[in-house]
Amino acid sequence: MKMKKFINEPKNLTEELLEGLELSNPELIEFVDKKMIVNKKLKDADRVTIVTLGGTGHEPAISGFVGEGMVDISVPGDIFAAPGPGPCLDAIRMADKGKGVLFVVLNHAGDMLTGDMVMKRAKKEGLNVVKVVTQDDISNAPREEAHDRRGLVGCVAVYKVAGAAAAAGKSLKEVAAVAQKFADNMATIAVASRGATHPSTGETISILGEDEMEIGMGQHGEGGGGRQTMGTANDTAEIMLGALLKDLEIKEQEKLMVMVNGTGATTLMELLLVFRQCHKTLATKNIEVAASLVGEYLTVQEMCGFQLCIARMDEEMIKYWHAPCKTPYHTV
Amino acid sequence: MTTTFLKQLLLPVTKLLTENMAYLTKLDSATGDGDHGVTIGKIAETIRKTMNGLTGEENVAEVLEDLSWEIMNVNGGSAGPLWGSFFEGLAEGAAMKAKNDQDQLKNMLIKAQESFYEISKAEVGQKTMIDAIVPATKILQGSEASVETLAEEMAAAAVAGADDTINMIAKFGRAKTLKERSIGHKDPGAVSFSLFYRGIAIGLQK
Repeated sequence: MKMKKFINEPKNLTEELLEGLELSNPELIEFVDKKMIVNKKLKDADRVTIVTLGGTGHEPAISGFVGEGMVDISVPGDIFAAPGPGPCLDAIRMADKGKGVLFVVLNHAGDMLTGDMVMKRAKKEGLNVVKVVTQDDISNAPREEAHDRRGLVGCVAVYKVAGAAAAAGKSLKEVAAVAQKFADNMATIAVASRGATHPSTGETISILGEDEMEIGMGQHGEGGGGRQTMGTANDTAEIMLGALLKDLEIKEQEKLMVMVNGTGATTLMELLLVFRQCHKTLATKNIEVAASLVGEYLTVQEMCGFQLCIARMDEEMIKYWHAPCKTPYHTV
Repeated sequence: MTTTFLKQLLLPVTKLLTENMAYLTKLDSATGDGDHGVTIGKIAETIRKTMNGLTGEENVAEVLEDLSWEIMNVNGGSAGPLWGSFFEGLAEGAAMKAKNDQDQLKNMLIKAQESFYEISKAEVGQKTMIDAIVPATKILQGSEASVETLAEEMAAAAVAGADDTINMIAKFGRAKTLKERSIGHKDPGAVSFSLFYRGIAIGLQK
């Protein structure tokens, strides 16, 4: 697969895309020292604050969710690569307004290494920070081995509820408990029908046959799931939703958040078909959709496919989900 | 120990790492994303710069602590954080009470493995850096003799450990998605750490 992207010098990609994000949202965010995206209202914050880290190339995640009511500082790495611990520690120091910092890390090898080192240093420095890891991909390990589960689009929902809890004036312990509870009750599965190309190297990420799809892709198309013949929106939604409901052991009368996240090249039309089918199936099972999101939140370049994420909701989570927020790519 | 002695130990490490950059990249291209040699080159340069700036008067533990943070922040995948953690352990070991330089060095190398384990979740036999670090450290832990006396044996154990990764199936790191296909390739991370121990042994001969 030949790369066909509107880019400039590959080595400047990360900086250029973050500049674009800043310039298009000047009232919301600031690109500080060319190493972090900061909520413009952070300086007036008198509450728990939220810091996250992660590679670029997945726009709008992660930096597109910096603003009021979600993330306060994101520390972006290079394309698909984690940043080093240095800028993360700087971000935590900057974010701390005396109420402590929630540090959200997606479960990917590099992100986790950085996260662990940051925590070790932060402890030495006496910083008040709690780390919460998101590991929502059900496809590569059973729930008991959640440490092997990758962090997919579920992080965006965690930013939302944790950000709302922080905005509500909750303590660090409480905000972390909300984030952890949400993370423990969410599950995601991905499907890809066509691969993508790495924007700096041009290398193909995942090769799929013309009539194939693969359920259980990782964030970058790492293998790990089942290849099968391309299915319809309804059939694919059924397979994926079924796996998620089973994983979380969702029962009748429970309430769910349902998110359909396009990974880059799948149209909103298709995503809406998938959501529709999920909603219908849940209705027949007497499960309520209490929160929903359909669109592109965490992408993988021009990968065709989507991630289906569900989470068990209670009244508290529903309240946080609908609480106001204002960020470049999610506003309530 | 003085920072002059530290420099004597670490400069040969940097030399070996730099000389093997192309080889490490070639190994990494088989199972990883092909950037290990480049990252190791940056790490070697970071260590070299610190060593060449030493006067001999500094505190070894402090120098290593600062250096570890610099290494952690070298951009380029997981090698920076992992090498940085190893150096953080060297710093912690250097700060421990010791009878003499050899004793201090032993503490450093043993603590380095401990610190590495805190960050890496890998175990022996999973085709990672650990497969060079553990056999080398075991030589030091298993004997009352000085590091100087054990140096050759330590370096040989690290090299043998790295060689053994050829037959292992990667269960960690990026190569793990290859599963059985990772057999037949040496782990570049284990090789670069074997060069560390080989370099220390060379430094001790001087």
